[in-house]
Amino acid sequence: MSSKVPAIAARSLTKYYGRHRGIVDVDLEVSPGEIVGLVGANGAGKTTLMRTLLDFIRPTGGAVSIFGHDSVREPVAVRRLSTYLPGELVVPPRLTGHQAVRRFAFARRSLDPGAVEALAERFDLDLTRRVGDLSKGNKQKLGVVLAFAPEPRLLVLDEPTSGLDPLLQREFAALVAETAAAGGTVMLSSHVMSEVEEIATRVALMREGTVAVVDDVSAITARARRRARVRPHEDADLAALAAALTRVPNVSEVTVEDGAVTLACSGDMDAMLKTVSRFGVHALDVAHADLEDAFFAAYDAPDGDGAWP
Amino acid sequence: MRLLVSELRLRWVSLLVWWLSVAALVALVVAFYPAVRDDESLNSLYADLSPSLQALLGGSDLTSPVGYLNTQLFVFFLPAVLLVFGLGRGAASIAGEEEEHTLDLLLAQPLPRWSAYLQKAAALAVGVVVLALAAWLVLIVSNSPVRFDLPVANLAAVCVQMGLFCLALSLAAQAVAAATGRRAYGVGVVVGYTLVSYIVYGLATTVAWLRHLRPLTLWRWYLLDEPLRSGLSGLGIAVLVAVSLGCLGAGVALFDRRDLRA
Repeated sequence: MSSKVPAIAARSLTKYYGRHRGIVDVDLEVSPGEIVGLVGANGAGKTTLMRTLLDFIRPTGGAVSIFGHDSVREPVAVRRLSTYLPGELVVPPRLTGHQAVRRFAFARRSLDPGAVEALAERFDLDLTRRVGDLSKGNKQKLGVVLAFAPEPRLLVLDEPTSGLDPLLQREFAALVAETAAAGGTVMLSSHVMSEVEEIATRVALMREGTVAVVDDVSAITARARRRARVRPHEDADLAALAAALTRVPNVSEVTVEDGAVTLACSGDMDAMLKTVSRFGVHALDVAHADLEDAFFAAYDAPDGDGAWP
Repeated sequence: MRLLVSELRLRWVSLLVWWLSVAALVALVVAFYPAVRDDESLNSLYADLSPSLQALLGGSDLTSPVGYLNTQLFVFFLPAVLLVFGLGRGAASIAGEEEEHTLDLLLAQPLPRWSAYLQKAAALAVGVVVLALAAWLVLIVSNSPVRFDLPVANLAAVCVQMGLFCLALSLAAQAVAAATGRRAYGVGVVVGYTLVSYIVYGLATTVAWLRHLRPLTLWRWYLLDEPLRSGLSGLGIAVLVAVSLGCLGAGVALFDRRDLRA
């Protein structure tokens, strides 16, 4: 199959549960090798979108195809190329890890037992123990093994890192990056934006059933607002500094307090820094720009079509 | 086929326990026959009952081998035991996994829904057949020791028809549960039908207008021509098989077109 075929192509994908909205008119294209993060509040439609890809849920409008296979007409072809990790992973507690792999991967002919062992070792997971005796984090590791071991072309992971400690989150991020480098496509969801920021190359913000914004993580962070706090030299005129900063086009929310000026700067910081330096800088604190800020900005955007402040 | 193997592997211990329990129950009932055989007073006790009650209890003849096995095992008790197994397993086969949130992981594999449904139905059928086989084995082993001296083919006939009867109802429970995603609906609907139809079947011997409803009860087709006395009933088997296939078809069709709950 040509590499130009998108890994995921959703066109006007819509799902209503009776009168309840699931997702509405989702248009989304994901290329092979991309790592897409779905971010949004609970009920924004992340899980509905993911479960529609695998034909657990039938769209009420539009369509989605996975590597050219329609989700409804060719679900088996879709699932041959994909794996899914449910948000609320439940494995029968009396099964051991090995039995769980047999139970939930028996139809995957591509599954290499060596890959299972290697992943379990990498995440320090004992597959001989019963699932019921595992901690939540270890159960989540089992989910990671089940999703990654078959080496699918697309991984659909619903909140994969919830329950993993920071060390394992980093290991997981590395695994996702390796998978993508090897040509695999990953779609993962989270309501913790910082996780997505670390792992994904592209982010889709979901809001009330629609994909409100899709953009590269680097572009988003570049345009994201950074909060800064400037303390000029003691003899500097705070009011003049504030006035000068207010005139800088991409600076906003300028306030004076306790001998310092706080502000929000979106995008390029050069103009702001040059302005500040004219007054002599004693200290400058810039908060790390995270996606959370960027997304709140998107929520606030009056036209809601992806314009960033 | 691999899901079928997985299902059987997952539940063989429980099935073994069921097998031993059914065998023990049948053996227990059989063991009492020598004590009952020569007690004519039991027959007079039953003879005083109304014909409907006699029909509900499985007849009025308690001391002959056929009468004893019918009243004590085949007309209600043994199929009821098999149905506890079959309806529970049937309703759980799809809807149970869905309610326990394990269905997503199972069906995320390259496996069509209809195939998953049919393989789980096959696992259910294996269970019911194995339990009916337990009853048959105990009966043929005890056949001469307790002086039933019934034809082995007739013992097989009643076990076959009972097995098909329980399978048809179990597949109905699977279908209702899979169509709705609720285990309780599958069990509730089929238990309700089974009990109501049992009463209709029994009362139809005396209440004339109920006689028209008799073909709607599966009990009628299971016990058609008294299999223990006269062997296999082709018509009875045909109806039970047709109902089983109908339930399979309807279950697959309804399960295939609905959304799965997360």
